[in-house]
Amino acid sequence: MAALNIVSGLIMLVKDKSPDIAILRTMGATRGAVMRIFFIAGASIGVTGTIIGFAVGVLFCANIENIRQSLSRLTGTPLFDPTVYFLSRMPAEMAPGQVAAVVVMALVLTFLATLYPSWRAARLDPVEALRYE
Amino acid sequence: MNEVLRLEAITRRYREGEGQLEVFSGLSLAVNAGEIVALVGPSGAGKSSLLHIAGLLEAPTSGEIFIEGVAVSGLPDTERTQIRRDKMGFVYQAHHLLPEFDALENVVLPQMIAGRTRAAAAVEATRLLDVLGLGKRLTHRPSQLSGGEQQRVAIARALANKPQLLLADEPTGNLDPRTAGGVFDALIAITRSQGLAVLIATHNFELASRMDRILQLHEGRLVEGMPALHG
Repeated sequence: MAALNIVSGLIMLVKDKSPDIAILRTMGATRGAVMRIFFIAGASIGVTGTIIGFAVGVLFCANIENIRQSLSRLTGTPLFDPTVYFLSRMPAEMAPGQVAAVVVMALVLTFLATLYPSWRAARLDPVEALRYE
Repeated sequence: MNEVLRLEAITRRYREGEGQLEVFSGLSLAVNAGEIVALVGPSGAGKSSLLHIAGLLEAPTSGEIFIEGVAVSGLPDTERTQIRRDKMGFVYQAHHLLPEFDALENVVLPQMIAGRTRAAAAVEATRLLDVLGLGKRLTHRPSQLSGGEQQRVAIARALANKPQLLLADEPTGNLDPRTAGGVFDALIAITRSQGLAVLIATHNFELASRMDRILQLHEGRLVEGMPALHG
């Protein structure tokens, strides 16, 4: 889902920035340079999102029992009532291997997601982009 | 005189429905270093297309483009891009400045694309903007500049990499007559001082008459001189 958001967001960015891309091409920026700009933009979003997701996910797992108790106090309703679920505390086990796999997968997916919009930006015809400005 | 740009027997056809629209055919022109040439003609005559072809942004259907005597129309995109970067500058009717950057950064950018360091680029950008009367507007963003100032920054940007050829498509078309005259004077002064070859498409016959030569694009042919209607 996050990768799809990056694809759609970057495609809109490319469309919005078409005249600017065209001007960069008239200045002598190569297609590769334009592709790198949008790849770096997409990858930056992906890396930032992954780091934030990793930090929030780890903190959430490490403190899940405290969060459950806080929410129970806040709402006045026992969440995951031990008399129903037979759980004295919320179980959460972090497997470093799985966490690493998720992080790597998120990064790879976001990098892949940036490729198509970046390619579209690089292929943009500057004449067409400027003609309708 | 050194010939900077030569177009030889250029034909351009566009696909239109099932047929083809021929904008011009067998068209030839040359612009020498230090020469300022006006390209006039009615809307839709193909002035912008001709500038795009001269600027290697659009391929002609047939014919050859020579930049400083070298045939370039058959070169791959990377080499045509390099020629644009090193030898050409573009000014459009709209300034097309990057809105997130200030005036100085907009002029620094093409130099950094050409591989110059930011510090060296900033020195040249400051000099150019100063010559164009914008020495006190360096840190202003395009939205904080007037139309005439925006177009002066666009001129500075086009000249930042010391091109041999300047292509301008209606550079004063969005400006009122007084501002247009000021921007045009600045453009002429700076390009003359650098000995550039300049090709300017314009509707403004008064400005065209102040250039070295006038080429009229009419019904796909180029003829020297002003349209008969305007004497």
